[in-house]
Amino acid sequence: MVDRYLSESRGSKRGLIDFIVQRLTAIVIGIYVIHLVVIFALNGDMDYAAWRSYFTSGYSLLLSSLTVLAIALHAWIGMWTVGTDYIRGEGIAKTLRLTYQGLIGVALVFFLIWSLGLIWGLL
Amino acid sequence: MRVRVYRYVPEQDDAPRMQDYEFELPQDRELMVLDVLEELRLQDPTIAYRRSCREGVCGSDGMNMNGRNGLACKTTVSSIVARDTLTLRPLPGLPVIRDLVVDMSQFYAQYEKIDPYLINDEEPPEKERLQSVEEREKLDGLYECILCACCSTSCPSYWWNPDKFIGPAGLLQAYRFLADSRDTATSERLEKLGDPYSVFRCRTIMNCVDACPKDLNPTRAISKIRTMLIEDR
Ligand code: SF4
Ligand code: SF4
Ligand code: FES
Repeated sequence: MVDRYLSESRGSKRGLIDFIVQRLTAIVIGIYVIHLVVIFALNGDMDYAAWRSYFTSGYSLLLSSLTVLAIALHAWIGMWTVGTDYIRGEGIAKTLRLTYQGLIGVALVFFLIWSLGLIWGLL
Repeated sequence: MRVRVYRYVPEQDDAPRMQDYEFELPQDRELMVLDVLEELRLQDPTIAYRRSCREGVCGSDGMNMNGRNGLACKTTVSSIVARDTLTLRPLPGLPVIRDLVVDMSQFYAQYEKIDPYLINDEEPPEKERLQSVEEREKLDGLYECILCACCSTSCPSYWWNPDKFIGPAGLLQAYRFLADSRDTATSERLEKLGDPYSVFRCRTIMNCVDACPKDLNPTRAISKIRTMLIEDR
C-alpha cells in the first residue's frame, strides 16, 4: 500500500507557494497603506516640495517599489485563480484561458514597468 | 402544503421539470422530509430517490431542500418549509441519474484520491496499535463523516473544479488520516496536497460547515491541512 503511495507522481507545491506569496504580498500592501495614512496624518498639508522630498527619499522609493511588485504578484495569483475557476476545460476553453492569462500577464508587466518608471522618476 | 419535486429522466426527457404535488401535513406530529417523499411515492411511484437507514446514518438521502443541502430523513418539514412550499432538488453540481438520484462517482473518486485508509509501515504489534486518550480525541469531529456529499455539493469551488479540487468531504477525511497517530505516511500524504487545486481551491466560504448534517467542520480541517503544509516545508 505504501509502495503504491510513494510511486504515485508527486504533486507540485505551487498551490502552497501561491498561498504564502498571496498572504505576504497582502501584508506588504497593508503596511504600505497604513504607512501612507500615517504620513498624511502626521503632515497635515504637504506642499509639492514636501511630497517630492518624501517620495524621492531612499526608503520611500524602496517601499513603493516593493509594494508595486507585491500588487503585481498578488493580482497575478488572484486573476490566475479566477481564470481557472471560470474558464475550464480543453479545446476552445483552453485557448480562451491562455489568452486571458496572457492579457493579464502583459497588463501586469506593463503596470509594473510603468509604476516603477514613475516611482524612480524615469518616465 | 405544495411539494415541488425535480423530475428528470435523462434518457427520456429533453429537460428537467418541476412537478407539483399537494400534501396534507398532519396537525398532531412533525414529519421529516423523507416521510413526505415516502407518502408522495404512494401517490406517484415513479419518483426516484435514495434512502436506506432513515436515521441519518447511511448518508444516502442527501438532497437540496428549499435551497439547502441536507439529509431528508433528518430534516423536519417545519424547519425549512417556506410560503407553504417544499421544493426538492437533487444535490447541485452532480450529474442526475434520475429525479433526485445523482451520480456520485466523481465525489467518490475525490475521496479515493486521499488514500482513505490507515498506512503504517512499522512492524504490526501483537495485538493492536494503541492510542492515548488525547491522540484518540484528535479524531473526534472527523471520523463521523457519512460521505453524504451535502458539503461538497454546496461548495462553489467544488462546482467549478469537481475533477481537481478534492472538496470538503475528501479533505475532512484527508485530515482524519493526517491527524491519526497510528498513520506513518503523513509527509507522503502532504506531498500530494500542495498543488493549486487539491486543497488550495478552498476559499473558506464555509458553505460546507453550514450544510453538514452531522455538524462537522470541514473548513477547520482544511485550515489545519494548510498549516501542516506550511510547517512541513
Ligand atoms: S470552506 Fe472551502 S471547502 Fe468549505 S464550502 Fe467553502 S470553499 Fe468549499
Ligand atoms: S462532512 Fe458532513 S456533509 Fe460532508 S460528506 Fe461528511 S457528513 Fe456529509
Ligand atoms: S436515509 Fe440514511 S441518512 Fe437519510
